[in-house]
Amino acid sequence: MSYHTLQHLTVRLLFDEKFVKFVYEDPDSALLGLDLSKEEKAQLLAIDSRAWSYDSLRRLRTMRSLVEEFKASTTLVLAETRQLAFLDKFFSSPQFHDSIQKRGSMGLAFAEYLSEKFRQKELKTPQLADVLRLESLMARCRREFQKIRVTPLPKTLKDDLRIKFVPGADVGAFQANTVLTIQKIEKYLFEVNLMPAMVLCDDAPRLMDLPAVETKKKSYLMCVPAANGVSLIDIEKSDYLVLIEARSSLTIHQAIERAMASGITKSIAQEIIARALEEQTLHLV
Amino acid sequence: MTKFFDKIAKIPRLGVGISGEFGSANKGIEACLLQENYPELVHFFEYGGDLDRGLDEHVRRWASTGLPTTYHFLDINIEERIDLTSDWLVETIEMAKEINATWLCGDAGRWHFGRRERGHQMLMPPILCMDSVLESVDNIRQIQEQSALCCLPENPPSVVYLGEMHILEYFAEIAERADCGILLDCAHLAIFQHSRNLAPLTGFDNFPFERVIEMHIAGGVLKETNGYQYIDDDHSPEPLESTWQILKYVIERAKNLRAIVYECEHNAAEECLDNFIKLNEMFPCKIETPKLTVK
Repeated sequence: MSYHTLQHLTVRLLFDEKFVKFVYEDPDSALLGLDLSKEEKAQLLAIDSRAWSYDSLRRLRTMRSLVEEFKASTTLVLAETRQLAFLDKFFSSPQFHDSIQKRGSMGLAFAEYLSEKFRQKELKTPQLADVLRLESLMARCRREFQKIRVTPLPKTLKDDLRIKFVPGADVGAFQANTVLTIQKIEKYLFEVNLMPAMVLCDDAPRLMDLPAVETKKKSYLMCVPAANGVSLIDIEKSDYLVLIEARSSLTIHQAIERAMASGITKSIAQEIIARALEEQTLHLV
Repeated sequence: MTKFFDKIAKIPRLGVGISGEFGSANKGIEACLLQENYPELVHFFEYGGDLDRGLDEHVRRWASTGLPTTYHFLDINIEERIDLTSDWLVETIEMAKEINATWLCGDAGRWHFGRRERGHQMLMPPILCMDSVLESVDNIRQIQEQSALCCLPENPPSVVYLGEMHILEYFAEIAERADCGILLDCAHLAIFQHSRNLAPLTGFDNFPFERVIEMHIAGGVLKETNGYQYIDDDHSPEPLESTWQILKYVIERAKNLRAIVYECEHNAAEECLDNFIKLNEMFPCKIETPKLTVK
């Protein structure tokens, strides 16, 4: 219904002064494609444009929650750009506006914003790519996590049974030093948090000597639902190759066949699937 | 008589209460302590809760005294059908029952944009139109059915209100159609009237005063952004004159009024005592204190 469109639009206006200017100067272009009635457009434009910017700290407050979730990535970005504005521009980005108008996730849109900046080479810190991918994996899992009733396992697992990750579980492959890089960043943030004003000093600690990007070696990680959100665990390459197939529902037979195509033996694939079902990383669907 | 009036007839007057939310007692007024020191001034506690933070130790302590509580939700978009999930319902009802809440209430608009997730929290008023009324009605009916508690929608604060209806007309429509009560926030109404250049008591014609079960009062302050004036709902100790004016006007007419909450928990207790006294004079509540029995 169009009043939902109007409600989403108000959020965009409350966050983005540039967008406010665009809407008031050229409403036909700014509101093009939105399901709004003439009356709704008129109501919107009847509001004093200055009213939208009453909360000058809204962007900073919201950025704080994004930074909490993408702690390592945003630290790398700020270390490289030395500009808060780089992060702040997210609120005027197509990713932000699209996520609000389509009732999406602002956190995941923020990850996409940074990712695109890296792809476009506006960000160049080599460690950023995988750090951001790992933080995005966790952010996605947090959002997908939901309590479900897991179907009890039968005594014998027939290979025509369908399996899938439980909501909030997933796997990823990252350059081998990704976790080490995040740990280094966390240590740095811990130090500056002891006395935040120290960042104003020329001799304040800087984020330096990050572990090099390991181009040949990889680490394999699994995100699993935990009591307070999600947690990460190290897994073997074979686990990764078998489990990644369970991102979408498939039969055990199909999962084993695909794993065998990646060089995993049938018995190892069976064992990995059985263990993941027992540990409720996978479930029967 | 509708189901709502049947239910409300069985609910006693709660009196004047204080609000609080997760951890607020550690930073501002501790309701338990205030009630202990001034039992004649504070009679119930309204806990503002969400699924993310749950109940705090303070509200559990209050509930353990047997004094009344109400549960004020902070995380549901009443005007958005898709937001009312069964998980939210089940867990919210569980929390409300755990503290023996007399009813559920809360700002009826949006508590977050998009899905309920971190960073999305932002209180917004509903779009004041009939489509939004109808969607809110569906949600309130469902909450009332599943919880077996009254659910009182509250008029939210904002600097910007959109939609062709007056906010009192919007909530009157919801209350009649959902067969529910109303939580009228006097400070928020004063903000609305100011935002539309209306006098504080505009819009009360044909208003169903008999459905006003609870009222809120809180301090506010006139602010300015780029020359644009608005009232900030800052919950400081002193309510604006227009807020008092609305409160007085409605008390005289709301025959089923059961509770008034003074939203002042972020301040120092001594800054708020005079207003607690004033509210108790305007809305007296005789509470029977449980008698001690000695074996």
